[in-house]
Amino acid sequence: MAYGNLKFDTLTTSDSKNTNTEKSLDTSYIFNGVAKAWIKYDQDTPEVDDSFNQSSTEDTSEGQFKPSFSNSMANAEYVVSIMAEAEAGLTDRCDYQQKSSSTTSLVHCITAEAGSLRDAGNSNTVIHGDVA
Amino acid sequence: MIKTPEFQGTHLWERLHWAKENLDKVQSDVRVVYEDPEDMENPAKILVPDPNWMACALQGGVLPPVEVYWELAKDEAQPDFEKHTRGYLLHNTKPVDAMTEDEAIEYLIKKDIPQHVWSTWNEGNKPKMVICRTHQLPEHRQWRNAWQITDDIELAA
Repeated sequence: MAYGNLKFDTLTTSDSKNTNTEKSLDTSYIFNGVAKAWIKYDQDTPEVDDSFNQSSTEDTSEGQFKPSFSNSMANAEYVVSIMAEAEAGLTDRCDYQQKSSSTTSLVHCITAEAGSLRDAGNSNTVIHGDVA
Repeated sequence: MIKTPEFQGTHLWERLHWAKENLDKVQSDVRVVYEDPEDMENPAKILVPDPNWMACALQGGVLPPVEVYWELAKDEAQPDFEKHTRGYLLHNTKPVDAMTEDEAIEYLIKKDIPQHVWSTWNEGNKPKMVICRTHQLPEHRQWRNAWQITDDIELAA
């Protein structure tokens, strides 16, 4: 059975278990604060394991890839978080860099300590910002 | 197959939430390999379709027409661009009907690969763009930065 829609602009709590002081939150804060896109990408294959708000990912070169959005971002001032899972035998430090961004896509690269680009089997990217 | 709600006028981001909840991912075996004449310093690039996006494309009624993205790209190319003011095109334009996998790949090429590549893909000494299956890519990624479309590639009819 499907539930209906609940539409409201403000979320209010009595906070009875803590301060007992009523607190309110504008629900637009929730919308503005959630991740707008994410992707778990395996560059070794290359294949997208799972995602949200992505249309494709481009394997651009070794250690470099470009996810594209389904719902474009409103501007290119969004925030990108990226982390790749550690891999056996590769224990040195890696740098994660955002090389360029537009409202439709961004280019990441993963650089090993020695300075060379490196593929990552499980790279995780999260985007926060405003959607168009 | 689940019926797609009437989505014209619904924010695309909300439609993607609906798709995430209701559609199974479709992992396509198709890859698009291309070389960008404006970026010959770098190796051939490989476009990987997103499985959740592919589910939307095959379902129909979720994604906007690809031309909407071209309109937004024109806006972003303006020198005084700061933010999109015509995002409503994504949400208010009638969504496209269900596509076949081939049609979805064509849509994706036109959305995510530069137009100067796909509009002239077969001009010049060799194709700039090739649609293939994953097993047709090199077996390992050693020398990834030297990958190119071969000069003597045989194209299917």
